[in-house]
Amino acid sequence: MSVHQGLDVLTLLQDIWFIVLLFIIIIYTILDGFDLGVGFWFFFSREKDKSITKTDRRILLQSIAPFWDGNEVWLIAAGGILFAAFPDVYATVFSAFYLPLILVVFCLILRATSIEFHEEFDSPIWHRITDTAFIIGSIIPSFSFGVVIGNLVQGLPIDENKHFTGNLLSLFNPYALLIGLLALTIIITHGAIYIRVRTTGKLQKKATNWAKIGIISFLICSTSSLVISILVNDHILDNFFSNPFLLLIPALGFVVILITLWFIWNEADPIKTFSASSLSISLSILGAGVAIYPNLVISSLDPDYSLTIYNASASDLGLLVMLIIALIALPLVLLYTLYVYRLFSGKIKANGSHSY
Amino acid sequence: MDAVALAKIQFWITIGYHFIFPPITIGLACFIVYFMTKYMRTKNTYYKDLSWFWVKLLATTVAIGIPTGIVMEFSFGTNWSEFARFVGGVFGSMLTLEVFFAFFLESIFLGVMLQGWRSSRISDRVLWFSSIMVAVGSVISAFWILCANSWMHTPRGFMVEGGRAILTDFWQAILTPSMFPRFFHTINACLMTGSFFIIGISAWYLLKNEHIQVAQDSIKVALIAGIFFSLSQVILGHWNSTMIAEYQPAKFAAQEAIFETESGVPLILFAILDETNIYFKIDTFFLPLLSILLGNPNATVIGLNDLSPDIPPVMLTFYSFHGMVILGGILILVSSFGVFLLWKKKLFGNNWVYQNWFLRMAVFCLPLPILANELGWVTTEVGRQPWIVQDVMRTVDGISTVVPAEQIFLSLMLFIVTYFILSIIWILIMRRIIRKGPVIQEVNK
Repeated sequence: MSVHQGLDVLTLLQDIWFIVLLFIIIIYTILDGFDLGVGFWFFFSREKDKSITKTDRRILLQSIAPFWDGNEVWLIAAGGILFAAFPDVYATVFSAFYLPLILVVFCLILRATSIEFHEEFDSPIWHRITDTAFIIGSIIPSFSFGVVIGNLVQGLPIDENKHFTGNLLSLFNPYALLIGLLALTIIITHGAIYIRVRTTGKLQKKATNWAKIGIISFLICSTSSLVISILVNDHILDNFFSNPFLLLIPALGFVVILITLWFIWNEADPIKTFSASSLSISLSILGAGVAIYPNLVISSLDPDYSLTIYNASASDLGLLVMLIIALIALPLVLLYTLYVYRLFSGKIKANGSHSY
Repeated sequence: MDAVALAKIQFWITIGYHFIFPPITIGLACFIVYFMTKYMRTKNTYYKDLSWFWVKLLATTVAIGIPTGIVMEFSFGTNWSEFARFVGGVFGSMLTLEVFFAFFLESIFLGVMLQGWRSSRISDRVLWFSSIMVAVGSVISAFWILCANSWMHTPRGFMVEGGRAILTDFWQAILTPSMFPRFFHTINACLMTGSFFIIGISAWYLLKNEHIQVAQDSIKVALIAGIFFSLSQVILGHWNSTMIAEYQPAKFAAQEAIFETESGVPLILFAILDETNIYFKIDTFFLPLLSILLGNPNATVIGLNDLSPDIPPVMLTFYSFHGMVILGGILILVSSFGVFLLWKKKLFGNNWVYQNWFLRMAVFCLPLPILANELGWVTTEVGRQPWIVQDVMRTVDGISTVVPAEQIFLSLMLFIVTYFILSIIWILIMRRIIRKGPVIQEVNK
C-alpha cells in the first residue's frame, strides 16, 4: 500500500503518531467507556420502589462524578491529535459526519449539564429530565462512535480531492450500524463491571447481571461483526496475511474476552474483572488498528484516494514538535489521572445529598 | 440563505455564547485561590466556607463553559473543514497543546475540588492545591487558545506548500507579534470580569443586608482588584491597539473610523457612520490624539479607502470597539467610586446616603465586563474580515464545502434552542445559589 519505502524521518513520525492516536483512543475507551456505560445502566436501575431508584441512581452518579469530566478530555485529545497530526482526516471525517457529530456534541452538552446540575433542584420533574438527558447523552455517543468507525473501515466515497461525496443516509448502512451496536456493547459491559467495583449489596448484584447481559451481547456482536467484516470487507485481512504474527493480537483479545466472561460468571474480584475488561478493549482496538493500517479513511471509490497516515499528515517538523510535547505532557497527565483515581477509590456509601 | 452565511452565523452564536463563561471562570478561579490561601494561612474555616460559596458559582459556570467549548473544538472540522485542512499542522497543534497542558489539568482538578468539598474526605492541602491547579489550568488554557487565535491575526513561522500551511518555526508560530498584547489584554479582562462579578454579588448582599461579613470581605478584595485591573486595562488595551495599527491596518482604520489616509490624525470619540461615510462625529479637533497615541504627533494612519477592497465591515468594528471602550470607562468610574468609599470608610454601615447609589451601580455593573468581552471579541474577529487567516486565507474559502446548507440550518436551530434553555438553567441555578448565600459554620469562627 505504502509508496514510502525505507525509513525516513517523516515516515517514522507518521507511524509513531498512528500509534499515539491508537493509544489515546484506547485510554479514552477504557476511561470514558465506563462512565458512558454507567449512563446506559442508569436507565435499568429503575425499581418499583422510587426511593431505592433514587438512592441507586445517586450512587451511580457519585461513582463517576469526580472522573467523567477528565475522562471526556481524552476524546478531545483524540480530536486534537487528528486535527494537528492528520489534518486531512480531521477535515474530511468531521465534515462528512456533519449531523451525526453535531448530535454527539449535543449529547455531550446534555450529559455534562445533567450530571453537574442533577442535584440542583429537588423536584421529581427535574430529576426525570436530567435522568433522561444523562441516559440519552450516554447512549447516543457510544453508538455513534461505532458508526463512525464502521464507516471508516468499510470505506467512504472519498474523491481525489479528499472530499466526501456521499450523503447522510449512506452513513447509516447495516455494517456501520452493526459496529455501532458493537461499540455500545463494549461500553455497557465495561460500565457494568465498573459499577461492580464501586458498589456493594443489591446494587452490585444487579450490576453483575448487567455485566452478564453486556458481555453476552458483546460476544454476539463481536463474532457477527468479525464474520461479516471478513466476508464484506476482506481488505482488513491484508496486514494479517502479510504478517501472520500479528494474528496474535486478535487471538489474545479473544482469550481475554473469555477470561472476562469467566470472571463475571464467577463474580471474581471486581478490580480484576475491570482490568481484564480494559485489556480486552485495548486488544480489540489494537487489532482494529492493525487491520486498517496505514489507512485512516478508506475510499470506496478508489483505493488510491484513501486517506492514509502518509498522505494526510502534517509536516515532519509539525509532527516532531507535537511528539516532543506529547512525550512531556502525556506522562504528566497519566500521573495525575492515576493520583485522582486513587484519591476517590473505594465503595460509594449511600448517604447524603450533594446539592450545592 | 447560503451555506457560508449559515456557517458564519452558527460560529458567531456558538463562540459568542461560549465566550460568556470562561472569563467568569478564570476570574473566579483566581479569587478562590486567594481565599483558599488565606484559609491555609489562618486556618480559619470561615475562609474555607467563603471559598466554597464562590466555588459553587464557578462550578455551575464551568459546567456550561466546558461542553460549549467542546463544540468549538469540533466546529473547525465540521463547519470549517477547508480551514482545518489548510492550517491543521500549525493551528491544530496549538489547540492540542491546550488539551494536553491545560484542559486535562483543569477538568481533573475541578473534579477533585468539587467532590473533595462535598465528600469531605480530601485534605485541606489537596483542596488548596486543586484550587491552584484549576486557576493555573484555566489561564494556560487561555494562553494556548489565544496563541492559536493570534496566529490567525498575525500568522508567522509557516510557509504555504501544496495548499497547506507547513510549520517552519514553532516558536515564531506561537509567539506571533499579536500574541502577548492579546494574551495580557484578555486575561486582564477575565480578572476584571471576576472582580465585578464578586463586587456585584457582594453589593447585592449589602443592599439586602444579608451575609454582611462575607459580602464585606469579598467586596474589599474585589474592589481593589477591580480598580487595579480596570486601570491596567487602559495600558494593555493601548498596547493591543498599537499592535493592531502596525499589523492589521484595515482593522485599525475600521475601529477608529479613518476613511482617508492622513497624518496628524485626531481621535474620533463618537460618530454616526455607515460603511462608507461619516455623517456626524465628535473628535479631538486640533489635537492629533490618535497619532500621539501611536507614538508620534505626525504619525500617518492609512485610511479605509486606500485599503479597500479587503476591508472589514466598518460599522460593526467601529461600534463594537467604542462600546467596549465606553464600558471600560464606566467600570473605571464605578470601581474608583467604590474604592473611594472604602478608603473613607463609608462603604459599610448605614451612614451615608450615597452608599446605596454605589451598591446599586455595582450590581448593575456585574454583566458589563461580560458585554465588554463580547464587544472586544467582535472587534478583533470582525476587524480581521474578509480573512480567516490574515492576508493568507479568506473566510469564504475556509468553509466545509461538502456540508449542505439545510444541515447547517438544522444544527443552527438545535444550538439556538439548546443554548437558550441552558441560559435559563444557568441563571436559575446561579440565582438559587446566590439567594441561598454562603453557609458559614459559626462554631469555628
